[in-house]
Amino acid sequence: MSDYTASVLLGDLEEEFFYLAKHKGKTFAAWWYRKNALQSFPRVISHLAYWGITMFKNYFKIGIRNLLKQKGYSFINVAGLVIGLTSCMLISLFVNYELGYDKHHHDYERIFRIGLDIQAKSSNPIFSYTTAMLAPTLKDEYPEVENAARSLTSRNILVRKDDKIFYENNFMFADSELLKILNIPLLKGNLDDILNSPQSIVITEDIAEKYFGTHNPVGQTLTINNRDYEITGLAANAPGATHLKYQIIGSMKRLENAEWFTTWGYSQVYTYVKLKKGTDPAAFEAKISKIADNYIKEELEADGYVFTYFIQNVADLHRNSYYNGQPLRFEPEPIGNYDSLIIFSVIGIVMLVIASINFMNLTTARSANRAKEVGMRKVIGGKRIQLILQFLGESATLSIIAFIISIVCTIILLPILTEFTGTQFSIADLFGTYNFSTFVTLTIIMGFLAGSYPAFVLSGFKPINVLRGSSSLKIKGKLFRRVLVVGQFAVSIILIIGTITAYRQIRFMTNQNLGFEKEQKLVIPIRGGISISENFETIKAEFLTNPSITGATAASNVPGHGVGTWSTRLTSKPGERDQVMFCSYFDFDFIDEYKIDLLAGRNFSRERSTDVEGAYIVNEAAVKAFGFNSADEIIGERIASGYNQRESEVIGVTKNFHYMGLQKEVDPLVMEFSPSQLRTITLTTKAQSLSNIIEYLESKWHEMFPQNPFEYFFLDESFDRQYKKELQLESMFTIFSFLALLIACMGLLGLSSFAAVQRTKEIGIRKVLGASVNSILKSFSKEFLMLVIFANVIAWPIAWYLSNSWLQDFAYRIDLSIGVFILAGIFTFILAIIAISHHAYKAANTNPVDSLKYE
Amino acid sequence: MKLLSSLEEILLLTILSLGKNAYGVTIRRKVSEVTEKDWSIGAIYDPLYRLEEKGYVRSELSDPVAERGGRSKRLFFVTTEGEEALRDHQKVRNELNSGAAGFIFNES
Repeated sequence: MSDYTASVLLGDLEEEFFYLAKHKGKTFAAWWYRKNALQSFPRVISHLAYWGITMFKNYFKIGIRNLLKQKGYSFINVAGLVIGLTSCMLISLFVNYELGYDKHHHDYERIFRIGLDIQAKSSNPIFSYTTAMLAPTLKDEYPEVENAARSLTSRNILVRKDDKIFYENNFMFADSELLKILNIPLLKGNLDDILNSPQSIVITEDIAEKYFGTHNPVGQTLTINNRDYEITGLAANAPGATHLKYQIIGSMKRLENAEWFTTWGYSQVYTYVKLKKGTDPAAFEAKISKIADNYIKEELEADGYVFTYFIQNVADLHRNSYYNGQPLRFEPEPIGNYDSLIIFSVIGIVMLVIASINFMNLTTARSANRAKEVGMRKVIGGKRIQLILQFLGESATLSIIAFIISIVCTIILLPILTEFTGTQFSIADLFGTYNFSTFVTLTIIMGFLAGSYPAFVLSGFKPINVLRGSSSLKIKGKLFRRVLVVGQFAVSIILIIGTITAYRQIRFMTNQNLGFEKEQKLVIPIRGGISISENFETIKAEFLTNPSITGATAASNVPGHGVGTWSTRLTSKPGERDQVMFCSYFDFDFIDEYKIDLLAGRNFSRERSTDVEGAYIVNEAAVKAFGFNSADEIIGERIASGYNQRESEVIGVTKNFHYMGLQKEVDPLVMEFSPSQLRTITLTTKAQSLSNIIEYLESKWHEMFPQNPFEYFFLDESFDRQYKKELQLESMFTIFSFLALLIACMGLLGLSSFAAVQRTKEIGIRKVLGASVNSILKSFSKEFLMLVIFANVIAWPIAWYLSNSWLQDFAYRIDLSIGVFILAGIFTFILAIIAISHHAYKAANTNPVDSLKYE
Repeated sequence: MKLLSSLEEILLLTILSLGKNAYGVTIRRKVSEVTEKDWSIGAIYDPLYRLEEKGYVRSELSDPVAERGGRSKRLFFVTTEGEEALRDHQKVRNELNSGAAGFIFNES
């Protein structure tokens, strides 16, 4: 129907109206008029729908043509968004996983682990271990406790079933009640009888499959550290997101005869409680905090100890296991890093924000070239609302395309995330309701925000202005776009400085003099129920027959692998109180082989029989902790320490050496000669023919220990593994600073091309008036480069503050150097020049005849 | 042989009877009067356009008329094809009527 038809119809209606009004009265005429108008509604609607669809088809066609016509723009636009969205998706997967730790237990709000804060004279260690007496006592004497249970994790156990021999790391002794508290599902076996005998164990499906294949494991036996255990139950595999990983669960009854099991002073097990509904955890904590005083008050007071028990919710254990700002000792697995979670999240959000900004910027810039289309549409009769919908629709379509590509990219990158975080992620996690709906919403909001500016501004143009060919078409918001560019570059610069700082700090830590020799050291762990206390000298001698092996020493542990703590007391002075110190045990050769410097006294000696009966070497830090001013003063004093609390003389003092990573100060260390504690053999090797040495060692090992698999590692590698967290952070920063810079440069590229189009005529006139190509290049680039300089000015203080506060975590750290900042600045500056040079050059070289011919 | 629906037939006859003054208002009034039923404007125009598509009527716009708020009338005229169709239609009806009448007579 053309407008003409409508006019004829209206004419008919009006004529009839006046006729009826004359003959039948005004009221009737009005009623009739309305009725006829209403009756026409269905036709009006179908009419609109028809033309609506036709117009939509046209918008769609124009939209696609626009995308294809400006391939570069479209690519940059979508690619930037894809990078931002993909980073954000991957990061949110990881963060969600970490935050979901231990939330799968039923009523996890009521499940707590009990920790112990020990205040001693000069130290204040916080233990995740508590006494084995605690759980039964709590359960019997405190009505608010619904259930309580203990567990004890054991690593490095050797499991054998016929010819299948492996080391397993996730063994735990537990009360069967623990399975109830943490609702560990039992697939086979009855919860009440599975762990009743000391010889019974429950295994998970993984282990069952590994050792028994498809056979039913219940009723079979497994040999663990040369002792036979009967399998009484089958449990479901532990989920990935739990702090207490278990694969084999043994009975607590196995430990009941140990002496320490019934004392209140010694801590070796984890205690879990489930409180009754409605119990106030804080009140419960206050009630039990001094429970040890009920049993061993005198002993504690005499030794100067204060025992304070505290509770931690099971869901907080992984990400926030701190008490009074200190991390807990002896966690079953390394706790998640809350700070890095926050850094991760911030980076994810920032990436998405700068990508969205870019998207918005480019969409706006691009739409300025479409002013003529807008004018044309308006002349033909396009309504403003239609134009608004057209622009919104186009940017929404782009963002949806980007969203779909991002999902594909995320799925492709999942294995990398898995490798990076050491956690298995599946596609199902990505489509988890929470994540997915958030991203769908975000994408739609982003599409609309990005489209809103051109939609509302461009659709408001007066066709006459646009079509007159006037060149004075100005897109407002120049300041806004500049702020955005500055923001993007500032983020990139901060990330670059962060990357370089992390890199330098890690370099510094790995190259630092540790106070001992870590190169060319090959370590053989002794585990799986074998002992070398009797024959460590013969084993060493055996290995030393190979000329490529120049030294051998046995020790309880090698640097970088954790040390045990024991209460330690200076006994030669009356009234001295206990302190908690790290203790290490080794043989006569350790100090020489590791090239550790002695400050005073002497090393353990084979010639002196008294050394075997008892003698201590301490480090500088311990000298200070005992209250002596110089190393010489402590020689000859007597201390009691270590696993058997033997009282003996201090015979030597070593310089502080870094038996743990450089994140921490060197703590006091007590070293004792004790064959029964030796768990490693360290061999010093010559660099050449390593594979021959290993072959040789392996054959020797099998002669000596035919039951145990041969294992080894290199000390330098394993020591540097302590910096895994830092390395992870560094590689994350590297990736994201690269991506942020990429997005920022894409944005600059887009904007410079926009500016080139906008300034075509201005440049033409300049050239006519005699400007040289160089001067135009300069004036064109200046604007953008000023923005980059400004971004540097903003970024430097922020980067300085962040890097500096990160470095505060390290006891041994680098100084921030201004060079890094300047380097990052120059780097971004050069990249910015490259990004804009193409369009600047093109604009400067345009023939003024072309750019001015329409004037 | 061209056949018509009864509404089409009514409209063609109405236009013929109105002579040179057949347009929306007059046609609707006449049809409503004869059929004793109030027809809406749309109900009239739809079949009119259909007839125009078939070529049975043609229309032209009159000069703007003041009483219609300065709008034109669309005047409809029956074309020769329209007249032919009417004649065909009438013929069919007549033949059938006579046959049916005989049948009815025989029965009663």
